[in-house]
Amino acid sequence: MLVPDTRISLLQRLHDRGDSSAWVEFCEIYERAIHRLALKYGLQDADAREVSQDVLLTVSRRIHLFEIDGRGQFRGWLATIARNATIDQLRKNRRRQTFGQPLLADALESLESDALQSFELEAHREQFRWAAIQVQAQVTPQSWQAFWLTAVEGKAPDGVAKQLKLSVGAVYVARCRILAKIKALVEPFREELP
Amino acid sequence: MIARKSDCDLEQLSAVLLSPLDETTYSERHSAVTQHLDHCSYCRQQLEQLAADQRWWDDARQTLCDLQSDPTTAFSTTPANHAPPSSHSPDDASREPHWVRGLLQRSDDPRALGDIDGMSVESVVGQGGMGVVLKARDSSLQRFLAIKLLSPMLAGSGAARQRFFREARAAAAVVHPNIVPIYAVSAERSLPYLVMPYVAGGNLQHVLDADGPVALERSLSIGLQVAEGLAAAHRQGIVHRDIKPANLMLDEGGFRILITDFGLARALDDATLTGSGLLAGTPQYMSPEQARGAAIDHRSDIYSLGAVLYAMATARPPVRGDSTLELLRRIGEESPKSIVEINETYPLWYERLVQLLMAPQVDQRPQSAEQVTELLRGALAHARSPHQVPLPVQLRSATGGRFELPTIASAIGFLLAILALIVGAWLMVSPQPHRSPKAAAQKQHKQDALSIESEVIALPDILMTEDWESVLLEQLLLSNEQELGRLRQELGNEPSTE
Repeated sequence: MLVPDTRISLLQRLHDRGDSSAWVEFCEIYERAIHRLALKYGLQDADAREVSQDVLLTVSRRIHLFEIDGRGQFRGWLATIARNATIDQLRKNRRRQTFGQPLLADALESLESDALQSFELEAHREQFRWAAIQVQAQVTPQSWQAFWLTAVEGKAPDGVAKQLKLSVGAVYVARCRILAKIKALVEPFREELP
Repeated sequence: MIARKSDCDLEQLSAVLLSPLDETTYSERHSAVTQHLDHCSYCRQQLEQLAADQRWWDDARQTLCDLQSDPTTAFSTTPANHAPPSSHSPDDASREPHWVRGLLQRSDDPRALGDIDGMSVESVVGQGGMGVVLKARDSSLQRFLAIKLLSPMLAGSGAARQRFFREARAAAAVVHPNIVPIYAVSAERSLPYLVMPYVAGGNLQHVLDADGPVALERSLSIGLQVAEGLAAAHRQGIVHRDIKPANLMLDEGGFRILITDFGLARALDDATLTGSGLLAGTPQYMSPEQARGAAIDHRSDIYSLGAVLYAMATARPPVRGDSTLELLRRIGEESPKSIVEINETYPLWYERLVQLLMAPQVDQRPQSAEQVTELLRGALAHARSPHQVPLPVQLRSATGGRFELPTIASAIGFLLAILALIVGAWLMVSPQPHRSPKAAAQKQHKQDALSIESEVIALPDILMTEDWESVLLEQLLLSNEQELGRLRQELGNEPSTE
C-alpha cells in the first residue's frame, strides 16, 4: 500500500530514528512552511532558505528531547524555533546594514504577536499541498484532471466530462475519491499534531 | 434512463470512497454506482458530503489554486514525479530519500554520524540556500570531503534538479587552483549531492563579519585570485552568476581563495524565480542586468567581483536595503557610498577600480576576466611598492570614473568654447582701437564682442600678458580641479543621487 498508514503519527515516526522517510515527509511539509513564514517577515529568499534549513537541523537535533505526550505542543514548539531563527537572521542582517530601522522593529513586533498563527496557516497549506501530491502520484492523469478542473478550477462537471471523454458519473467519483484521500492524509496532522 | 429513488444506495457510495486508490479494480467494481451517478443528482450531493464537508472543498480550491503556479510543486496534468514518501518494504527503504539523519547509513566508526555511499560523515558543517553541507572523511584516500546535499524543497522540482546536475557537471570540468574542484555528482538518491574537498578556512563572509574590512594588499590579492578563477571558467563558457563573499572559500592559511558553487545559482533560479517572483541568491552582489532579470554573460561576474572588492574594503555590501525589492531597485540606480569615506586607509584609485568593474553599463566594464586579472596584478604590484611600480594607466586619473568622465569632458568642452569665443573677440576687439571705425556691419560685430567681453571680465588682461597661452592653460586646469573637488564632494556627501 502506497499511502502511509495514517494511524501512525508523523511525530511518532520522527522519534523513531529508523524511519528515515518520516524526515523527508517532515521536511517536504515544514521546510516550505518555514520558508514562507521567513519571507513574510521580510527576509530575502536566500536568507529565508537558510532559516528554514537551520530550523530543520535544530529540530533533527532536538526531536528526541521533545515529549511526545505533550499534546498540542509540537507545532507551537516548531513555530517558536522558526520565529527565533527568523529574528536571528533579521538581526544578523541588521548588523550588516544601517538603514530601514523601522522595518526591523515592525517585523519583530509582528513576529512576536502572530508567528504561531501565521505558521499554523502556512503549515496548514503545506500539509494540504503535500497530501495532494501524494494522491496525484497514485491516480490516473484523467482522474486527477477531473478533480482539478472541477474542484480547484471550479468548472462544471458536465463540460469536464466531455473534455476528458468520461461519463459525468466518473467525474463525480474521481473528484470525490481524490478529496476523500487528501482529507484522510491531512487529518492526522490536525489530530495528532494539533 | 432516469434513476429512481429506489436505486440510491448510500452504502455503495461509501464503498466507492473507501476502496483503495488503485484505479483498475475500483472502476470495474463500482461501474454500477458510476452509471447511477450519471443521472442522480441526489446521490452526487450525497457522495460529495460523504467525501468531505464543505470546508474541505473550500480548502482544496483555495490552497491548491494558490500553489498551482509554484514551479517547485509538481501539480500539472501529468502524474507527480515524486517518489511516494513512504514505503514499508525494506527493499524500498534502502533506496529511500533521506535528509541529514535519515540519509546516513550505519557507520562502523562510532565517532561518525553515519555513512553516505562509503564516506564517513563526521559532522554537519553548515547549511546554505542549497541545502546542508556535511564534513566527511574519505577513508581510502585519507582526506576530508565536503558533501553538499540539495535540500528536499529544491530536489522536489524536476527542472531545478536537472539543471543542478547539468551545471554541476559543467563546473566539474573546470580545473583551476582558485576553483573548488567537484569530485563527484550523485544522482542516485532522491536528494542529489555534490562531493568536493573540505576547505578548512571558512569563507570570506565569515572573515568580513568577524574582522571587518580587509587590508588593501589582501583585498587585491583575493580579487586577483577570483579574477583568475573566473577567467578559467569563462574560457569554458561557464558563468558563475552568484559571486559573493560567502561563495569564496579560504584555505587553512587564509591566503588562497577558492570559488565555490559554480553555476548553481541558475539551478536555484529555476526553483524560485518564476513562482514566487523573487530572485534566488543574494541580490547585494548582483549586476544590474541580473537584477532586472535580463540576459547575462560573463561580464555580470565582473560586476559582482567589483562588488566583492567593495565589500572587502568596507565590510559591507555596496547596496543595502531591507527587502529584496528595495535592493533590486537600488542596484545600478545609485552609486554606492564612497569607499574612501568609509575606510580612509584605502587609496582613491581603489575606488576607481571598483567603479570600473561595477559600471552599470555592461560595455563600460573591462570586457574579460583576463583584463581584470591584468589590472589587479598591476594594482597589487603598485600597492606593494608604490615608488618602484607605477599605477596601471586605467586607474591613474579620475577620468576612469564613471561619473567624472562625462562631466569633466563637458567642463573642458565648455571652457574650450569660451576660449574660442574669447580668442575670436580678442581678434576683433583689441586690434580695432588702432583702426578707424568702418562699416555698420563691423559696428554690429563690435557690439557683439563687447557684450561677450563684459561677461568674461578678466580675460582680456590675461591675453595682454606675454605668455598668455600658459596662463590660460593654468586657469583652465584650476577650474578643472575645482570642478573635480566639487564632484567628489557631491559624490561623497550624497550617495543616493536619485
